[in-house]
Amino acid sequence: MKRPVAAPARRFSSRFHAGAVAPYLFVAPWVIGFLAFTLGPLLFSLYISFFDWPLVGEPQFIGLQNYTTIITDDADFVRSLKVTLTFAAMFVPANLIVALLLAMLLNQPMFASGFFRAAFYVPSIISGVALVTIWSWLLSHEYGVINYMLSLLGIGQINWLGSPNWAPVSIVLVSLWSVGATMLIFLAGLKSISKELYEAASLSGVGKIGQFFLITLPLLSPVLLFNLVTTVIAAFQQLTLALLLTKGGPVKSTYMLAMYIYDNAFKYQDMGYAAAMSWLMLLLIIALTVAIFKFSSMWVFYETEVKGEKP
Amino acid sequence: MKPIFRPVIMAAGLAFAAASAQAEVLRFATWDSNESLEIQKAIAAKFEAAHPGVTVQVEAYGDGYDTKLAAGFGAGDAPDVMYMWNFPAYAPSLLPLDGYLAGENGLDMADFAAGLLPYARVTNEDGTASTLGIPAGYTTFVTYYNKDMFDKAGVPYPVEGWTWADMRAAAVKLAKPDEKVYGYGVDGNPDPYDFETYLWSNGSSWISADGKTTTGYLNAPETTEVFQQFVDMVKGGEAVLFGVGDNGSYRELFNADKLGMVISGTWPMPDFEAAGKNFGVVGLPSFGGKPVHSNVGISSLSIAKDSKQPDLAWEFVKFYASPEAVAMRKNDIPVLNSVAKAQGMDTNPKFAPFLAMLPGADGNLSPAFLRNANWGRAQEVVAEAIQQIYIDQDGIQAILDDAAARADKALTK
Repeated sequence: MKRPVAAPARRFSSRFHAGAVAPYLFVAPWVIGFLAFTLGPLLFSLYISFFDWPLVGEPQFIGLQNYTTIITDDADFVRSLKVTLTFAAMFVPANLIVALLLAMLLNQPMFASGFFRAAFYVPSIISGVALVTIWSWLLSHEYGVINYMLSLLGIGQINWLGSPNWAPVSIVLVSLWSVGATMLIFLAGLKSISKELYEAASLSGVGKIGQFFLITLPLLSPVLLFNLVTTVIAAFQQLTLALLLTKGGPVKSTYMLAMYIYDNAFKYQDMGYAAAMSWLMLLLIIALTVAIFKFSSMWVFYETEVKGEKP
Repeated sequence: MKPIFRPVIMAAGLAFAAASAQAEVLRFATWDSNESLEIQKAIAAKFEAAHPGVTVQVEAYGDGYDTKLAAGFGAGDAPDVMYMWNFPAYAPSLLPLDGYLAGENGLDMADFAAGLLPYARVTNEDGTASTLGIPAGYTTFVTYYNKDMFDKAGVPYPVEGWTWADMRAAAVKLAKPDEKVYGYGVDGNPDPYDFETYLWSNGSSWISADGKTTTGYLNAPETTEVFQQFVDMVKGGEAVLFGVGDNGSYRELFNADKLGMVISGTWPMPDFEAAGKNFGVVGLPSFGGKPVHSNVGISSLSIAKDSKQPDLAWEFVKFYASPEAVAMRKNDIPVLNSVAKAQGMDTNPKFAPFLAMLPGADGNLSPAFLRNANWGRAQEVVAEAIQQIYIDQDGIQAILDDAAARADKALTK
């Protein structure tokens, strides 16, 4: 029998046809960047987490010792984890509520809504360093404008950044400044809810508050889930504000996990230990995300699905 | 000195130029910024002029200095020459300079202010000691006082040999707490390194001489006494607590005639001068006549062990230590006795106290980081305890006892 030689040859040539290669070339910068600057370092950090890896001097393989030390014998890890959880417990709800309220405001037909949309988003693109500088002046104990305004209301001075009780609150307050991205996603979700539903509800005599809980919230729940997950992750990774606004203080009250990892890496130059801690943080975030997804079926509604008992 | 020195440098420069026809780039990292950075650049330019074919790349890392430098070493991409203070931490990556110092192209250390040299020497594992850096500039700690405020309150200026009791008496007279005018400023968030000055002067320290424990030092009665005094000063209204919740600095208060006295190094002096303040400088007050010991902030120059051009790097370090270069540094105190003398610093009332505060060369009082390579983690515990003390303003002994236990644990990590 004669073997069909031509066909494979043609297939071969067509596979490397310029038109077929072009798409890969176009995605190459991202793929190469991802491999070199994200996946590569990621895997490398897993590798060095099994070493005593000082920045200066020779690395030494120590197996799981970094992990066991962190879990069983590092009071600062436990403490910074607590600070992070406390921050997340305040930041996540505050961030979601403020973002949703702003999105609902912007969703109203009103004068210059485009301007306000941009105005509320602008703080999100300001560099964290500039943000911190502005807020450190605003929150200053003796000379800050916030304390001045409070004094006009007859409220005594609050030591926003200098008191261990208030500093975590200040960090939450400042992080709300960059609520813009969450707000925009909420806004997109709101826009996709059909107006007819509200009209029908109005005709049936359902008030505004009822409409919010019966229409807006259920239909927004997939967006809410997305924002919840990303906000939880952002809360765990918070570093800039703690590092620059309060330097983790006073008395370590804002010393978050990400900052402890940073210090281990660059202050104590213990790369292996810091890498191990990063991976523990990743596991923690994955666990939380999985838990959120697991419970999400109880309150997230997709338009295609029908849930019997619920309205 | 200059006319002799110049040709030597020139000759060395020509030798280098001959050795390599191509342009050589020497990387030099500094934590200086602003005017101080300009001085570094000027010195580097002078070196370039004397060494045709050599380009000095001045890398200003600023506030992130240690992070950037550590990352550079970790990545095998460290600068050839760098500012250095934390010798124990970087020792494995630094080139011991003893060979160069003793060699043909050596450096006469006799003219260096004696108290500076122990700071750049580390003890190796085999018990020998290595010199890892050459001092380039330094500052001790002194008291600045606002003459206008003293005059207005009719309080006599502080004099050398004064005590904290004198200081507090003056502060009480200067302070008007309802007008937010204070006699003295207590830093609520000090660098434990700087703060050890007070402990030494009251007969204590952060850590034992062998660097093994902080218990009995960090929580010694003499340490508690120091903190109790500062807390009492804040509570009494004679001193303002700064650095806790405010980004306003003591410099602004001093310049606004709201602060009578403050203890610092040379750093705020250009600010005070620029504001046209009528200020005086006097040595540190003593704790009831006990000997006063100031810590020293030193910028030293070190060479990376992996530098591909150690000889050129040494040439650069040597140039930095030359009278010509030392005289160009205007923002700290000259490391060479001859330069300090030539500039009249020993008789200038604004600078003489800095020289007088410099300790002898006995090295008995070495800062904690030189006594234990793990001090970094312990220092975090100390810094936190200090914040706690100034926030609570009570229960000092208990805070220090707890800190000593935790710091000892951190030392073993």
